[in-house]
Amino acid sequence: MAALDTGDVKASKLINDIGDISFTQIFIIVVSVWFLIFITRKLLPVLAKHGPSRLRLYFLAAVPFIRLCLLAASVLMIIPIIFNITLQNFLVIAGAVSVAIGFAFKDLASSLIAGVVAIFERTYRPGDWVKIDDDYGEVQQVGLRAITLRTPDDDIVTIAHDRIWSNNISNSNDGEQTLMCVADFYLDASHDAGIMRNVLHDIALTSAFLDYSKPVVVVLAEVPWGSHYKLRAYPFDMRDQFEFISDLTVRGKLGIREAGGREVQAPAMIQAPGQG
Amino acid sequence: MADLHYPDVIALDDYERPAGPAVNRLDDWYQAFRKKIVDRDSEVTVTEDQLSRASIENIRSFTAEPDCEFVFHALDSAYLDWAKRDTTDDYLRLLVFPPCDRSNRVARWAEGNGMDVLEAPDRSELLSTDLAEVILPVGQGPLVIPKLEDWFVRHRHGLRHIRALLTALQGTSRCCLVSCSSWTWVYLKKAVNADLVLPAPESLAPIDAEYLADWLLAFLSEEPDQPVTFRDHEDGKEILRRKDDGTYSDNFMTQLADDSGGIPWIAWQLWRRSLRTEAERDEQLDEENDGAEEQKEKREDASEGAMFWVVRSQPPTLPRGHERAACLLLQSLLIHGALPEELLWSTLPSIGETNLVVALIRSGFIERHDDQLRCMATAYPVIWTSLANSGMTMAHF
Repeated sequence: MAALDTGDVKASKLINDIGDISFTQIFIIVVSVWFLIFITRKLLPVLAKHGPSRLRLYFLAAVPFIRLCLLAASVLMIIPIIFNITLQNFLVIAGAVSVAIGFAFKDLASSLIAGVVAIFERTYRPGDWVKIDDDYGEVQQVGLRAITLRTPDDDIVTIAHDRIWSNNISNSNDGEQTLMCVADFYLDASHDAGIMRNVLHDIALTSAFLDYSKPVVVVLAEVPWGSHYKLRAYPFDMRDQFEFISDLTVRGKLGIREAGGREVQAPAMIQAPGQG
Repeated sequence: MADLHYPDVIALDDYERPAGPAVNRLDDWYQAFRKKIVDRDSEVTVTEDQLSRASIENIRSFTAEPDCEFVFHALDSAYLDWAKRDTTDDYLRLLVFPPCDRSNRVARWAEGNGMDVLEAPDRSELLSTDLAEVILPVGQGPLVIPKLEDWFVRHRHGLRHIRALLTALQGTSRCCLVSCSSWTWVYLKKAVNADLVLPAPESLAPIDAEYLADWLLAFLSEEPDQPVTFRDHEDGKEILRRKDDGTYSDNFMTQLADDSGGIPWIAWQLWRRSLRTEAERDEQLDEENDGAEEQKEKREDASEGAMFWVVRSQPPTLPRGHERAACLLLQSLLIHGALPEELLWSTLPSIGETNLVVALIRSGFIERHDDQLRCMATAYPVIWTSLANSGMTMAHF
């Protein structure tokens, strides 16, 4: 009977008396944190859009970090209001939460933990261009459970964070202001490769989108059906990447034709590497 | 004027833009933020001075851009001794000149000192596919090549002449002084590795607020028969008046030096644009109809000579929704100095923005001169900020 009494006392101390819990305080904390997160999510993207280009990624990357900090702070403030925190109580709560997560919310918990890891490892940040499986796009938002990508075709793709445990994440710019763009040209093998490389090099050097602080490289590989040229260069703003590649391609085709090159086309059933 | 000491030519990397007053900078940030986020619908793309015809042409000093004699003196002290030496080392010198130089000052300085000047080929030749060959003239004394921006077009055919010129420069033993604008230099370093041939670029030193004020005062004293007074239109205080401790009583010149990036002719154009005649001010005063007594005193003060009101003009804004294309166009003009419209479009991607030129002319960003388009000096501070914000590689000044 005495042991039962002790257990009751301990259990009753796990949660504070209902009269001692300040629901007003909890309400104020929740509303304040929600308001701050709302402001952060609205204000920082606006600043990123209209502010200097060099600060854009910093503004965007701050959103998930600030939200995580605010949520963590709110949890740390609310727990002592509800629970009577002792070592024993902590172990009891941790055990109960672990069982609940293990059975019911395994995937959700995995995504949440992966989200925290992704924020600190900086696997991807808002504004980065990433490829996860077949989805390539700009990271619009890093949420607690998932990220959203906007693809070049203006589709929004939502991908859970727990994909980082099992998939390779390809980040094209990794927090930088620019990323490498590649324009491919497939030519018949009978041409002067030295001249052609110079022509393509000049094509990149005369593009209005070119970032002058980054290198321009033309690489060539011989393949069974001809020569495959890759013109690699960086635009000064990665948002111009598709226009930049189009500009290189349009003027590259003209330059190749003037230099005596002839483009070849693979049969329809053969797809180029990287296109499936 | 002769008492002013303009700093010598300096290494390009040592160029530091004059700092503006902190209060004005905060105000600029606030105004830019407000314009972008809060008040976008109230933007006007026509500048204040285009709306009003400020009648300042009766003062001779304001009608034409000044020569900036001190620039010629700086070139004298930097290059005349060098030009007379017979040593073979250091025979190639590069002077990176500020943009928006309308007077072709380097060429005029060279001709004034009897030096040979190598002119660029006609722009129509630059895009021909013929083999380009440049032969440097043989002669005594230094050769001056004043504007590298006229030697190329940013086009797949347009780099041949500049490459041929650099090849010729490597093979010559004649002293050569080469000059180009700061934007041209940034591009040529990337496109043709010009920094390998011309490795130690130099530039004019920036002018600071103190020098700018002294220069404008000295400049105005050339009009002895018509003394001129300048007053801030907001508080009526006189501008360009020294206090007892020798400093100036306002920070207008500090702001002007900052806005102009330390470039004298841009500072002068901005200064000229900020002037309003008294008649216009009177009209404003009639409308406001307050502080009549105080204003009367100021009018009496001003009756002794010409008085101008100095305003902080609203800078022009890029056409809304076309900022990106506008930045590409403006950058191309800065790199080339000036371009005919057809040639300008050949340097830009096909962006379907054919009406952009008209909009930029109307906004006060660019102007037509001899069938060529060029950036306006008065818009240069805004152009600078816009290009920096767009993420482009920036020139030193």
